[in-house]
Amino acid sequence: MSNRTQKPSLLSKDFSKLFSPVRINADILEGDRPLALYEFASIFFPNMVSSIVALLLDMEKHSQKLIASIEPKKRERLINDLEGVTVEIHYLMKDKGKELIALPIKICPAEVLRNAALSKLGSRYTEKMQEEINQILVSFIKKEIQRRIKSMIEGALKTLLVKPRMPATLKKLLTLGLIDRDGRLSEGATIEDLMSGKYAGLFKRVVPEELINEAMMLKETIKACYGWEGEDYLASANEALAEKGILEIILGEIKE
Amino acid sequence: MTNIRYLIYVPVLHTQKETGEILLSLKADEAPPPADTSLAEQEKSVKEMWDGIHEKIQNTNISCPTIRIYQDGMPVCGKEKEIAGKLAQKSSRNHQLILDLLKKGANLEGTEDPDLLIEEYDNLSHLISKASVSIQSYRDSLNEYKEKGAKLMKQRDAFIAERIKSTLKEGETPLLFMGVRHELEKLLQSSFVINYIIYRLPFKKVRDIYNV
Repeated sequence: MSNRTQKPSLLSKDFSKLFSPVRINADILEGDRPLALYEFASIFFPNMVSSIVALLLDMEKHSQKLIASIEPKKRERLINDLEGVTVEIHYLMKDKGKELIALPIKICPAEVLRNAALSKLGSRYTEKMQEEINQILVSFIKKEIQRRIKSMIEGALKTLLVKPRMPATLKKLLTLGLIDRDGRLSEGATIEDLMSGKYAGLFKRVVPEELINEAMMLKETIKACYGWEGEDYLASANEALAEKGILEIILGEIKE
Repeated sequence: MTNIRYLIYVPVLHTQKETGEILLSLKADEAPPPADTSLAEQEKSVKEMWDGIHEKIQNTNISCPTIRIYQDGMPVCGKEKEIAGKLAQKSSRNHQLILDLLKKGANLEGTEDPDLLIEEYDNLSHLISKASVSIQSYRDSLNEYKEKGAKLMKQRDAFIAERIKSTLKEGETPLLFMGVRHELEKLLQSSFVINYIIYRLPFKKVRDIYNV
């Protein structure tokens, strides 16, 4: 049985043991920063991340073609000479000194040559990594969604707070410290707490139901679109089965 | 002067209840175990969504006889009303709403190419057959389905877009009920001003930027 330890996830907080080429400190990417940053990057470095990943994938995928033209003796010598040598490119974006996005690319030429000689495909930069990169992108989107829902709800609360007769439930939210006098949600209060969690009952009495429905719908739609439930086998299988069921009824009706 | 044509777009999500009803109508040996009951919250929000959609359609003040409905999965077959009725009986909120609108004078149009729906059905059948083998086999098959499905969805969308353009009569407003996998907006935005009856996908820009 293999005793290899599991590779730490790109999404884990401890990046120190991480070998993958992309890591993003999603926790400090708040507000308009992701949008602004990506807009900037898309203008000045179009396809930067995907190009680097593609380059690495290509390097490992196609390197055996290149290595095949090198004599075995020369190849062996190259591997020996390059043993322990690493090529490191550290691409870093910082926000007020805090690391925002890092692309710590580490290439071990000897390993690349050895893998190429053995025709090993994608030993390191595998689909698994691509999957994790996608998860990071989805987590950005999720953050952005939460930010927008939060801003939508805070906007509604602000309007209610300036009314001459403040609703009693709103006072309660203030007393509980869930919102401040400007309608902003306090640090500990999450959107989930208010919309569907422990304070939902209280919150519903203050914020128009339509707004809550829209926020929930927004979440559900995006959830369906971006497959946040990707790992939920049963939900996915049931969804497929239901879709098939609907078509079965429809196609059955046509045949009759 | 060109007349601005509006189109109402409603994204379709099914509630667990209707999914359950449909599952019950299928053979028991095909069905995977029922989904977790913790989805009750989601169920509630989707149900509320349909109530909200119903209300919002009423609030648009568009006269029902000028509405032409285009429905995801509804083949061009001449039996559109019967199909809607049958699915409404199976607790489909989507189809119950259609029946209600039909009673008020709206028109239901055959929307999809039946051959493409048969293809979709075959793909789904293959996928589901793998669900009973193992989770891994289902997941592998799901990836394959997604690949095939994306191509097929493009064909379905192209057919639907053409169908809307060719069947819509002067003065009518198209009302689309489409599953979230469809991307008809791209094909229709040059001909119509799209009104998402609920606040749908305002993050498209973000999606584009992230190239997901």
